[in-house]
Amino acid sequence: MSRTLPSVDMVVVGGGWSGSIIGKEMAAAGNRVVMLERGAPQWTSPDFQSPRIHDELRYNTRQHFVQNAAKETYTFRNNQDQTALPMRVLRFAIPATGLGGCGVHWSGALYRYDEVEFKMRSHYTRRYGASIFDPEITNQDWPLSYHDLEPYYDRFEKLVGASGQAGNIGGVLQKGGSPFEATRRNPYPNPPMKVPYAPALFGEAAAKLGYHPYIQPSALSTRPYINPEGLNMNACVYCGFCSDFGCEHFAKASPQVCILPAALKQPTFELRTHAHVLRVELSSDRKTARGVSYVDAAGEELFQPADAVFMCAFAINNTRLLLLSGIGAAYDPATGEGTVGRNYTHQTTGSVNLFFDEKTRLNPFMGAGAVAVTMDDFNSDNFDHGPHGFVGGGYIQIQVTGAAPISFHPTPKGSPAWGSAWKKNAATCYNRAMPIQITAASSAYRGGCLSLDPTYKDGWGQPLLRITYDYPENDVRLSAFLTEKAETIGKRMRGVIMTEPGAAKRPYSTASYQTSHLTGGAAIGMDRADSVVNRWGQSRDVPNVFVAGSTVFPQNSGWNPTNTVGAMAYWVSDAVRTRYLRQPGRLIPS
Amino acid sequence: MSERAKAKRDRWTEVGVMVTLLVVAGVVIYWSYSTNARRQRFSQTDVTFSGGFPYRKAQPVWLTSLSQGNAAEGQQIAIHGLHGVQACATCHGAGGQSAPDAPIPRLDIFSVSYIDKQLHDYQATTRKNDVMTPLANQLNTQQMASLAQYFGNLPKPAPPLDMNVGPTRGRILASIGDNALSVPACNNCHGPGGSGNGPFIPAITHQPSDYVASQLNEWRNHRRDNDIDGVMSAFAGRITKGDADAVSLYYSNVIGRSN
Repeated sequence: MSRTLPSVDMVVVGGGWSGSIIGKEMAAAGNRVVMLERGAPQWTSPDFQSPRIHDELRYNTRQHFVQNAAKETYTFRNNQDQTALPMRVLRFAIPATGLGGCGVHWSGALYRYDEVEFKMRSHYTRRYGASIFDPEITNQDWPLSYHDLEPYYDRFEKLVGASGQAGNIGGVLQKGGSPFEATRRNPYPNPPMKVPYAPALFGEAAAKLGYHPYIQPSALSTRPYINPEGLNMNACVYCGFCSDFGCEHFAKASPQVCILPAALKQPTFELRTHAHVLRVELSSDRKTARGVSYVDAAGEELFQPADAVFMCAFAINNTRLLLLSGIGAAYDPATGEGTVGRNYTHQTTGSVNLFFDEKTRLNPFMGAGAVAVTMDDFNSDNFDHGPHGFVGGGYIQIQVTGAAPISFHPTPKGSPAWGSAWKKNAATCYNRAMPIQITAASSAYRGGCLSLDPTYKDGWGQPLLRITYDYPENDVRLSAFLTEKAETIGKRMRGVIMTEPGAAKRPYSTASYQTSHLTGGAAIGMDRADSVVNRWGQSRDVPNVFVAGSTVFPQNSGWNPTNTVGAMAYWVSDAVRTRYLRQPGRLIPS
Repeated sequence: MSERAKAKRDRWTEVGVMVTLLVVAGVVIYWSYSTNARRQRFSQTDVTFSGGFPYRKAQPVWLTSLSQGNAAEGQQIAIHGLHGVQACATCHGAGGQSAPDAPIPRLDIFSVSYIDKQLHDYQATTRKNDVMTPLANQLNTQQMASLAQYFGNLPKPAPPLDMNVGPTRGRILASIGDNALSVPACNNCHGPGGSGNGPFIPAITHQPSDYVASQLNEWRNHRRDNDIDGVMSAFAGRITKGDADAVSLYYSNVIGRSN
């Protein structure tokens, strides 16, 4: 039997970006908030300091910050005809455990989506006709526009001390920025990052070919900065311990640097770590959440009553919580009925490995998470899709995260994989090889979905989440197209003597890392038939439950999701404060 | 037609075909790119990185001038000075080992590159000092490189061993920083025990504590602004004078001054 705790106004499940923002905003508005974080408390100082943090084996190879697959993992299959099996090691993505969530180990790439991404279905239909969509594709419009979200992007970018060169301020194109960018009201709070050699060579070649390369916007501060919460960030020193690591330097934005200290100052905010939420408890008519049940560090099950619940766990873990709690109707790919688990997407990728001549020294160890030169000429609908027959786009870039010695040892395909020949190649290529990377849209399709696994359970005896996914043909064509474009640029780069294209190919495999940009499962949408939440992130079935994060993205765009995740957290917070709390417990009118 | 003439003609035919092909290919490529460009929404703008990549910033002199110097000349200047330039040893001690109780750095523990850059920075006034600025102004590029070659190549003291001495606050700032102030551990960049890290991040251990404290003060007051992106000024501006003293004392005591 679980013990019932004193009631609070709101429970926030998860201490990542979404939870920290919503928790702070709700507490600042006077609500009693309890944040339940399943992992350990951790702070930049002392937890991310040297020499401990300078440990590639611990943080990169063994993924210290990532969900422990021995306790909770996912099962996977490519299609409904297969039997899903559990992943014993998480490789395909790196969902975090621990205070700050993925905001600790991320790279800090900070893109906005453009207008088209929010009108995915209607825009492409209008420009190219409905037949541009393969029949299996279930992409849909967001029930809000880029312009609705713009002020919230602005807020999140200021919170994280974003660095970058704006491309379009109030409709006026800006030199050095991307001309394809959607209109922004303000420039980035900090100037763009420095450019390592390989991205500079990429930018040079792309510009020569008539494209529009620019420095990737990032959540790594480029100068001393005080954010609107009054918290200090430092200028990035490009130490290279960035992606997969906690930033030792208060330069890469994380919830613990940018907002959690402000949340903890609120008298009505309480943080509980090592609090693993099992499910949302519902009233007998299943229309109201009563609170959440969780297990604490001592293994005791506790019931935390609350008037409202915010699901801010890792993207697909929110979907699992909805399914475990019986909120909404589970999606059935056979009939297309139900919505929870529908429109699961990942991110389509591609790459072109480049090998340079002996005169080139790339010094790839000089890097930081989101340091890149990138281009959007083939992202979104910035090019004519008509002749190609697919929807979506992606960016092409070279990003230098720091070339850590255990993980970064590129050698040409077909060359020896071990022994003295491999060692010689690895030593030669370390300073002379670099991939062009492609991050592209992922279209939702009828068969790609999340559900509870019928066989396998986690350490608490609950069914694991089952992922059913393969690249839809649309995305295979998209990746092939972008990879070909990327190779053209690579061949044009000074010093390049060999290129190795690697487009995404079926079957999709979970054995290698792609991105951590898992999206969907509780899509936002226009009506009950196509969505789990309304335009305010509010559950259509249990109105005092709100879902945050990329869980609500109806499909994935050709950009990294975090800026949109952060903007949506502010969007939801504002809606709750100014709309929901007037009539708590009811659906906010659209 | 002789075999040779025929071969020659064939070769010219080949060349002609090649040239024609290249021209055709060029036209096709140009046409496809320009068509593509027209299709793009913003093709009329000149917002590109043309000329912007790769970044070619003017390189500072000290990045390439070190090879002009030689340690022998540096030693000569260090010990005997020049006309108008006092001998370095007067203040920095014989062999660059300054007295432990003065706010004057030991030069023997700095790297070649670091010393050279500091002298240039005194000239450029990104680092200001009433004594050093006029002295540096008397030196030419080669002499600065020579001084750097001399001091930078002196034997370095043994790596420090943390003996857990000195004020606790200093040790905390040095090894784990201060979360509330967003100040990371000094050792993150300055190396384990503050023993320096690479050519441009100086050792702060083994130095007289008054020197380290004075520099934190200089960073705070922007009399010193010769690092990248204002990193040090930001830290120094956030810690108290007591913190600066504590961390300086800690580093001067990490292994005592055994050497």
